[in-house]
Amino acid sequence: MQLPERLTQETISAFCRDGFSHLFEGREQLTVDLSHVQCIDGAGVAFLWWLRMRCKKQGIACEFRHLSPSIEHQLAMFTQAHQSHLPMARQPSASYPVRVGERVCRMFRHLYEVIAYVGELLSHLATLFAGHFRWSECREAFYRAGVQAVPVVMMIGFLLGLILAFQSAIPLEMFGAEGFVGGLVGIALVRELGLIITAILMAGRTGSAFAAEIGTMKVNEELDALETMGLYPVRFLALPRVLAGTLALPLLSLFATLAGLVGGWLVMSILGFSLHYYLDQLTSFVALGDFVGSFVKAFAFGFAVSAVGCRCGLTAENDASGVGRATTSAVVTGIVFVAMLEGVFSILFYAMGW
Amino acid sequence: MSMMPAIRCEHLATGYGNNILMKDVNFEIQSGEIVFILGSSGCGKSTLIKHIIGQVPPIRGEVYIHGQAMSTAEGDVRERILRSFGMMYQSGALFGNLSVLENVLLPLEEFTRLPREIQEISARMKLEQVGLLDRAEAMPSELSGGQKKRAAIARAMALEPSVLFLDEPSAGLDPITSANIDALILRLSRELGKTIVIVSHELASIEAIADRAIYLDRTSGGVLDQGTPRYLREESPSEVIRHFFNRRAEG
Repeated sequence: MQLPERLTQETISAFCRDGFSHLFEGREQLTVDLSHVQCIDGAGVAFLWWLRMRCKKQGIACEFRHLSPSIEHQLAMFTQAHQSHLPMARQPSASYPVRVGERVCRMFRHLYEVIAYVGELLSHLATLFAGHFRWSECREAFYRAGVQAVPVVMMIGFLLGLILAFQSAIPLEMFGAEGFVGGLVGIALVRELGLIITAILMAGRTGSAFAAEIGTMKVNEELDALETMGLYPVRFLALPRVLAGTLALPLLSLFATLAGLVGGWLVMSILGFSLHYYLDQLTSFVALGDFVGSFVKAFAFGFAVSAVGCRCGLTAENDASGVGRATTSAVVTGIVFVAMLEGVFSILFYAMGW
Repeated sequence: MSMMPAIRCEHLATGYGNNILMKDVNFEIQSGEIVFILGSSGCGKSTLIKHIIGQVPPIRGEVYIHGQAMSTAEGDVRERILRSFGMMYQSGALFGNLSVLENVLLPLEEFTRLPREIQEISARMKLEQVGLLDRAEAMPSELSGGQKKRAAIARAMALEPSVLFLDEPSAGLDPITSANIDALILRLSRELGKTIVIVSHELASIEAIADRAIYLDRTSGGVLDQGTPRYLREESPSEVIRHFFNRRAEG
């Protein structure tokens, strides 16, 4: 076989497109003449090596003529490295009980870590009063998590009130009870929906941002730098953000609820009820205790969502996709925690007769 | 026309937006040369490379690649120029979700029509050349800083570019690996005629393989002096450069 003058990516692509199986069929020996070859690139060397391997596999004696010593050297080096590096044998996978056991252990270790993290956060709360707290960072986080979220939270709250009122007006009208739409919207928004929708928004908006921010810092070895300086990432990065989130959520939830009540009023006025009647409805159905109760819950939700976000960032893996996974997990875990806490509070408030 | 320089910078002002780093850079790099770009830390060497490969448009002046103005090149012309470039970034810039081998394979899969087997052999050969074949299946996050650099060089070479830009290729590597990389660069240049532009301060590398070096100067905003390492060390009119080559503190 006579090889062309240039042995490069283009010529080899073209050569391989024409097919090469005929080269090997019914042969005992393949002589490759490189006397014309003047230019050879990496693909060319790869091609020569591939030819040699292919011949070896099929039991054909392969001989290169006029091969330059440096290329021969390259081929030899690669062959040597290739042989010394055989793919590692896969480890046999563990048996089923072992895997279950490992899983359970991991779960408990995870639980332990979460408890330790919450403890660390709370213990660092003391620095609030020791004058070491980074207020500027907390203010910045509060601005981004709270103030900048007001428009979107109010819009969603308003739509929620509007939809709730419209959809409930249809069945209530059948019983001639459309006058109670105001009470329904009031109770639903103040007690549960205003808060839950805000918490979910915050998990998506702020929890994810915390996770991405801290996760990227981890990739850049900034967390390691903090630790080397003797600073705790939890105190330095997580605490200001968690505090900001904890304070922001109750206020945001209040905005969402009020916007929702305005949405409800809009529907009521379309149905022909006066503002006075609507407010009357609200005050007779919604007690101040309902506001207070949801305000208390909001602190807990805000803490959960922002603490989860920061933790996901702190435990992110050290690459771009690790930060992506941390962000996803911050949102999902945040929402799951909100749902779980909601259940706990429902039972608690029921037991307290609230 | 036969002696058209591979890269020519004419009255080039570099920087981003209002932040001008260099006011007037003029130099030529011939095909097949190994040229080092030197200069004190922060004077804009990496930025200059970004201007040459067309990532940042020049503030003033022009970069010509084989006589073709880079800033006005569009469509196919621009793509052909870009494909003739290989670039290794300071930090490696490997794709974290792909293994080392897949990182090197990616450009081969996207831009060549070689059969899969040969693509893979070719990629493995590149890794062998930088001494990373045994880490082919590893993910970038499992590599050390020097290993990442070597993997990045392997990826930059994957498409057999005619011009190879290396940003600090041997910083942080041990002398033996560093010498291996120097030998690799020398072979690429001498045997395959590749043009190689290196940003580096490794005096040993400069002495060993540089055909020429170009010294950028922050204060004058241009090229202070250029020439062979020997000329710069012994005959350069600039004291800073002679100090640089003789490893002496200024003053």
